[in-house]
Amino acid sequence: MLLTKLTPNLPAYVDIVDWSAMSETDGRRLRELGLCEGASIELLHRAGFTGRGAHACRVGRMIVAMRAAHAAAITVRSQMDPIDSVADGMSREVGAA
Amino acid sequence: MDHAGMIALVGNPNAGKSALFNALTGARQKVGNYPGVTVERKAGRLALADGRQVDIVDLPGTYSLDPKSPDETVTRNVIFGYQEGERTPDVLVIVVDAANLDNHLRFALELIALGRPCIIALNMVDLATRDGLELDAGRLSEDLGVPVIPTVAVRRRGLDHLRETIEAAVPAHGLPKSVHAENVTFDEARLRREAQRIARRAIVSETPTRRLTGAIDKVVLHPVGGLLLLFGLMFVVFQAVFSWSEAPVAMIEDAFKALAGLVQTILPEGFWRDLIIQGAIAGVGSVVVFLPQILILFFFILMLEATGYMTRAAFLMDGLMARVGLSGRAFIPLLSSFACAVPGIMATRTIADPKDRLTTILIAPLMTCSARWPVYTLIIGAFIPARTVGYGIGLQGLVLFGLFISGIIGALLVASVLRLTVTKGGGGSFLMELPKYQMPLLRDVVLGLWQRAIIFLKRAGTIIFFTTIVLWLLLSFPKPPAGDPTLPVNYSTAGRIASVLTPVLRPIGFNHEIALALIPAMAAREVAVSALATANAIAESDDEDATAKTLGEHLQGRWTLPTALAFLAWFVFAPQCISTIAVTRRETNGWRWPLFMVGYLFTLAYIAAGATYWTAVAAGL
Repeated sequence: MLLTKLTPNLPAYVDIVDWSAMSETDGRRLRELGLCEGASIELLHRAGFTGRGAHACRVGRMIVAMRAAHAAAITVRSQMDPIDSVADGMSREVGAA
Repeated sequence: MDHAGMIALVGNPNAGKSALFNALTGARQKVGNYPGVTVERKAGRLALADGRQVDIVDLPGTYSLDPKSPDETVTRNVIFGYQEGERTPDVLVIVVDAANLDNHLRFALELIALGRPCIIALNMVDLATRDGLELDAGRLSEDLGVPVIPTVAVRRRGLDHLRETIEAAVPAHGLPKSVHAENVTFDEARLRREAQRIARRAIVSETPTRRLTGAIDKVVLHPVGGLLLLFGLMFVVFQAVFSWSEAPVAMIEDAFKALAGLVQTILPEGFWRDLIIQGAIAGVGSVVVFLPQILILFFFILMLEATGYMTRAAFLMDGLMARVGLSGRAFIPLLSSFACAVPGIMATRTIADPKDRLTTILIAPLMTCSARWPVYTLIIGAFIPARTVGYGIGLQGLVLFGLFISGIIGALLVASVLRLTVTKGGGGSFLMELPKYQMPLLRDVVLGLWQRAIIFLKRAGTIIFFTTIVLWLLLSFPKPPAGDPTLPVNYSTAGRIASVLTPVLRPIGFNHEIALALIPAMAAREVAVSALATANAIAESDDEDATAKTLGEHLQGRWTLPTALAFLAWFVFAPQCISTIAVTRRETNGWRWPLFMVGYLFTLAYIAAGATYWTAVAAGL
């Protein structure tokens, strides 16, 4: 599911990031903030009343804020799902590198 | 005393670099700009135990050696020895947040790979412990191959050990001065995995997350509660900037009046006495009088920054600001500009993206600042009937509200247009770390206030001071010959400039006395009131309200209602404030953008005044 649809405070993993949906610089900054395939993530807060405001997520031990457009480019999988999803994410990341 | 070496503090944003810099250098630091860019350079001196003094710079925080913004470019250039006006550092002190080890180590690994002497300051270990994280600094040092010193900069813990390690690392005769950036490439994914591996090995024990920060964020980032808290805080800030500054401003004004009185009794009448009193003392006074507002606003901004709240405020407001192409960080500087655009523009330094920051600076003068009040109340009091328009709403208040709203709507429209044209590009994103909450350190806040005050007085102050003297000269000379009935001000150079301006301003309903009042009002908007009094030969008394009342009654007989309304519309947009222009020059590092700002605001003022005048004439007012 998309990060924008993730239930708040539900631990998940980053499954796929659509890097083409954002600029190269923003993509790099997201990775520098630790947000890449395989990272653990948890949606903490959505700003505004419509849910289209900025999103605050825990990525590892860091809280990262991003706009909804970036959050919508991130597909996540609940940590309740089988663990091989993480391995999938990692292998995709290695392939991309 | 021997100058031995140069140390650079480098690391990710929110690693506590500035706190460490303050702790190491104390008040022995200088703040300026790097040549050609508006990136702040913070440098200081560190005394080593062996008597050597080393220079130390606090480089802007960045996430990698691949820069995204001008400040990150400066950090990269300094490290590689390319930055104009900066020596190449002999030792890099890499500051990492102990609680974000895997993330911060990624950049640390890039820096270590450059082969320069490095020391890791494992900072904020106390907060890591608070959040349930125990680290093994020895193992970390072993894995990284460089010294790792646990520090708590704000509590001054670990500093002696860090100083000793720096002393051992600073070479007696310096190092080769540059690294060739083009030869340095990193495999991003490999670095990330390596950082995670080393971080995992260094962790002795951990609990999952930040409990205190999470608990506070539940309130602060709540869609309703968070906004209420933000507006409550902003209300306090706004009130403080407005009302707390009143007493010190009055004291400063009284002190300068007393000084002028003293000079008047000492010096004989003539040019030099007038120059000193009306030029120099008035010029210095007009600079110093801004200090209380600047210091009060920055006290709050530095406190909010230091606690970690500022990024939360930006988070809450980003959705609204994004609609006009700005980021959430623009909200506080713009709100501050309602009190005064000068501290508001200085506050835009918290906006990381240069295009976002420039746009915010360019629209800040449209917020209705306190200097507009005397002009608005004079004209509204004289020309708008004091009656209600139903439901207890007064017409005068309604007009005043309309002027406020016009400024806000104007600013939002201008921001949208600028972001599509001259400040196009950049921005468009809002990606930032929300740091841990911390107790601010009063010493660092005071140091920050001192630096802001010095920057304002030195850079903006000189321009304001000289312009005040020039305006005084224009308004005072030449003097009419003895027996000439012409008012001195009409005979002066300013009076003659007003005669040239009058035909240009007549189509928007302005007469000669308005053209004349607009010239000294370039110093500050409120000066228009006293200038109109002078042009109408109304003696000014100590009671400003009485002067305004007499002037208002006088203007009723001389101006039509369309002219008065056009005059109000002019002041919504016109950049009649030399301090704002001076501080814009300082913050944009040149004359290009202040001139652009003056140009577009005068154009808007002319159009708005003209449209108001002709609409009012057509409506038969």
